Amino acid sequence: MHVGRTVLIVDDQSEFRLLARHLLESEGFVIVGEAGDARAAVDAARDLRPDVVLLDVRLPDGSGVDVARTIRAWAAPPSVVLTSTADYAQAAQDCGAVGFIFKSRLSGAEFRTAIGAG
Amino acid sequence: MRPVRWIPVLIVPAGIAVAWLAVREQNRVGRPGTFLVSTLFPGLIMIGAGLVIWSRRPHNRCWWLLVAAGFAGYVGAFEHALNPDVALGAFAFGRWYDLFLGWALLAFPSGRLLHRHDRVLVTAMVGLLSVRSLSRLFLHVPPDVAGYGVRNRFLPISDERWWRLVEDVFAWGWSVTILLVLASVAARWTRSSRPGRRMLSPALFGAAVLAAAVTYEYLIGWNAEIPAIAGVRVFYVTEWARAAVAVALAAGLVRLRRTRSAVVDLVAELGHDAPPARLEDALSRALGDSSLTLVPWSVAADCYVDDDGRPVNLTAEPAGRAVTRIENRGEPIAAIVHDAALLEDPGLVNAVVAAVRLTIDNEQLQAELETQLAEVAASRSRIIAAGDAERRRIERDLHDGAQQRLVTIALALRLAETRLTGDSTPEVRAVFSKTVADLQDAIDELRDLARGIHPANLDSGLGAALESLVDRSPLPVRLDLRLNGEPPSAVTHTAYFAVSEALTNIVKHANAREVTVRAVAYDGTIRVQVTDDGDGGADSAHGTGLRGIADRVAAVGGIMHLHSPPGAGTRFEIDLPCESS
Repeated sequence: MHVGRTVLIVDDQSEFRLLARHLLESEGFVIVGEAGDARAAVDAARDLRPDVVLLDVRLPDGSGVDVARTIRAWAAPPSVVLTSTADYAQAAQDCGAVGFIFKSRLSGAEFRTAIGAG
Repeated sequence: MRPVRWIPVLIVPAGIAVAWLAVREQNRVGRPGTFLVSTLFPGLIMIGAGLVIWSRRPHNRCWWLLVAAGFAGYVGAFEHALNPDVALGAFAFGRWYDLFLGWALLAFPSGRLLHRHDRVLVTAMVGLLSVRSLSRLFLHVPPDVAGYGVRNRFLPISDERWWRLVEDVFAWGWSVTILLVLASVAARWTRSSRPGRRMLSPALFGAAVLAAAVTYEYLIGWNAEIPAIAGVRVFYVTEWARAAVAVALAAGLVRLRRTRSAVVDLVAELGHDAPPARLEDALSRALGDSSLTLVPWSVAADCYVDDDGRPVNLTAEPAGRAVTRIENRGEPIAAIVHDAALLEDPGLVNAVVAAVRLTIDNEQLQAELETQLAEVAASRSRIIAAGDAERRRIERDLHDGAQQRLVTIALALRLAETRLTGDSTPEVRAVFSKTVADLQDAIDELRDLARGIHPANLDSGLGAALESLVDRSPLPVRLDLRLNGEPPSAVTHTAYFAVSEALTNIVKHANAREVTVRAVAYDGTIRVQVTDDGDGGADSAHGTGLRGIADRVAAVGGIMHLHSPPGAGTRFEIDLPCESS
């Protein structure tokens, strides 16, 4: 059941973060935090311990793929869903993410499918 | 300057005519046949030897010295001519041919008297012969056969003691002078190194023969107990010995010419790809001078330098060594340090210099060409790299600009759609859904466009990029990746676009059922291979796609192969040098 699952949104675009927050909250997810770059993403994921990280691939200070690898290397890591305007489905598989969503297709249903909670 | 062709036209008939007159004169006084032969041929041989030299080296003075010796050799045959003036002239000037032979020996091989003592020797020979000839003209008293008492033809002298004295002094003086000629040539031969000795050997042989003949003639022959018989023998020996001297000199100069040709041929054979060390060895072998060194000129250092780039002072070469500088259009190219004996034949050295200049000139042209080719290749690589960077920038601009804005709008519409109240009409909901769908299509098209410009997967490495390509292919594609590390960006881009083009062509034209993409790293190279079982018949000369890939492959120093026989599938293969693989 996805209701109440905590989510960290990582994207350098504040509008995207805001819209993603509303979309996911409307589906019952709890947004515990937002981050705008790779370093902040790692810190927030470590401090907030979300269930899922919605992670943009292209960040100002690095790659979301590398952030995902870092996070997935932890003990009891959160699930990671990569998102981007370009196709990074293969990269998502390689870095241990549970799924990939094109940004333009982000919705509660897509997110649930990606994390296997649908 | 071209040799004058009329020279043999004049000399040959004149020589034959003089020889015929000489033989006829000897025959008239009852000389035996062997004597006539020894009168006829040695002179012609000397003239012939001179003409041989003239034909090969017309500017070498040895040719006319030998021709003069040949003609002078016939003068003595007229000592018993019926005309008393002719007989006296022949008696007075019958030995001058030795002057020309001795002169030629001292001047060999250059044709010039390069040393002061040689010029002194020639002057001494002229002096001795002049005194002897004048003595015979003005002091000689013919034998008083009838007992009437005779005197010299020009002066009232009836006592021949002074003439006898001059004759005796001349015999010794001439012998010593010819021995000094031998000594001069021998000294030059001794001082020379191997190439110099090889060059001077004919002159040494000739000088030894001439000295032996003269010594035998003046010190042994005329003092024999039976001078009449001995005189005949002496004639045979000395005439043929002098012919041998002429032949030796001509053969020596012809051999020098052959050596020169060998040098030119050898250097020409070396061609433009001869490294300096090999050129030096070749010259050393051709000239027989193992001590020869080739010293290149350094434009950067503005001086001659050795193999390690250190300046070389060519003015400090030891005695017996000579430096020949090679220049091209007034600019120094190199210098040859060699045995000074090689300067005895300036023509030979000039030939070598010309050949080396040509070879080095070719090397410089080749080096300039290679530099320009390298610059063109580097320029092409930079152009492609700049193109890749530009594509990446455009793709990023699309991502950060239009795509993000459209994504934001799409999400906003989707959010708005979720918040439509229950009062909303189905028409409004349909408009929302249609708008979001259309917007999604536009975003997808824009993403495809961006991917065509610069695939985002390339940032994840060649392996991920190829996997993405294979995944998107409508045909089943087997992927075999055996990469070892990540290749340079230019190689990754080239490999990706090559596979992309190959897969596109297969889908469009090949009617293939099985496709394999293989990328293997080995020995600093990445080999990318795309094979299919389709119709074959692909040709890289047709269509801009493969030509563009070929240009890209060449720009990174790679090689492209396309094997596509009709009906037997296609194997497309590129090898890309990859330093960091």
